[in-house]
Amino acid sequence: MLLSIRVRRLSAWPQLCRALGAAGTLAFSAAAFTPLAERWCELCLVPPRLSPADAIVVLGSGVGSDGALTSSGQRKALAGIELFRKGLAPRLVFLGWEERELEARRALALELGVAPEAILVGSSARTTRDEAERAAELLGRAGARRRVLVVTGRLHMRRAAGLFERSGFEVAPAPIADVYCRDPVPDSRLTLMVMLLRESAALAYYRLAGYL
Amino acid sequence: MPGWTILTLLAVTTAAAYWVGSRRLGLAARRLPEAAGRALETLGAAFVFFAVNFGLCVMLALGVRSYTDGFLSLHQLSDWIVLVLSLLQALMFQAWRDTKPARS
Repeated sequence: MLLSIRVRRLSAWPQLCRALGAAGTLAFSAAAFTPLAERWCELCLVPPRLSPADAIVVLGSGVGSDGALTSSGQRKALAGIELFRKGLAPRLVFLGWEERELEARRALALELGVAPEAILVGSSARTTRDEAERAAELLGRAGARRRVLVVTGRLHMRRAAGLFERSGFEVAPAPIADVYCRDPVPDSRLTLMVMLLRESAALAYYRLAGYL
Repeated sequence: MPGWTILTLLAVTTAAAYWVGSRRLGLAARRLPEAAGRALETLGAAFVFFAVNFGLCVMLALGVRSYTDGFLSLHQLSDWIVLVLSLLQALMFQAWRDTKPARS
């Protein structure tokens, strides 16, 4: 009896695989050759609201294996510095995990004319949730825990803003232009689709875990 | 490269492969649907392997975070390489299944 059930299950393998293969091929074609990813991307974007705040919080991006800032990390740092130089907030906070990333960003800010006393650095933040908690500690200590301009990637902004709001901040989103939603080249569409799936999975995980 | 260029190139090479298969290698055109079914089966097997591999990656990352002081980023684990290796696993598995003698 048990043996016949097992044999029947094994004989279903080709049918299951064919159905999955067909579904996967359709999904791949839709992602690469239709504007599906572009439309989805547009739905995920949080529009910027650049207005005066108590601090500008730049989220981490890690460093490359050579210890240099990643392209995304550099863009975020520069965007934060630009907002600071426009006078939108009196403090500039860099968050992240590795000391060398934070040091590199601090050095960049100093080089571009940001006063050393305006820069706050929060290390030991591995995830977005850690970053929100770290920012709350740092800015709470500095007496500026209210309205913050959050600088991060366009697709990451929804999750980041939700976490910062949950940590007691009023968030003004300042997304960097790291993702372009309207690139009709199949390779770009597939890359965008992977990013969207990744961020959606992260968002779902944060909601399931009760972080959001 | 724009999508239509890729699709045109694919159409040309598919037609060429069909010509070589039917004219040079003497393959029967009526067996093409069966071949397409086998290709989909291998792809589907690759998705099964990918789901298992990816699921294990996620469990490993969450386990490391929960039970040790270490940290594994999910961004680093969800890589194209897992998909490519899963396809290789599926090709190998399907080839192995094909070595099984048919029941009489």
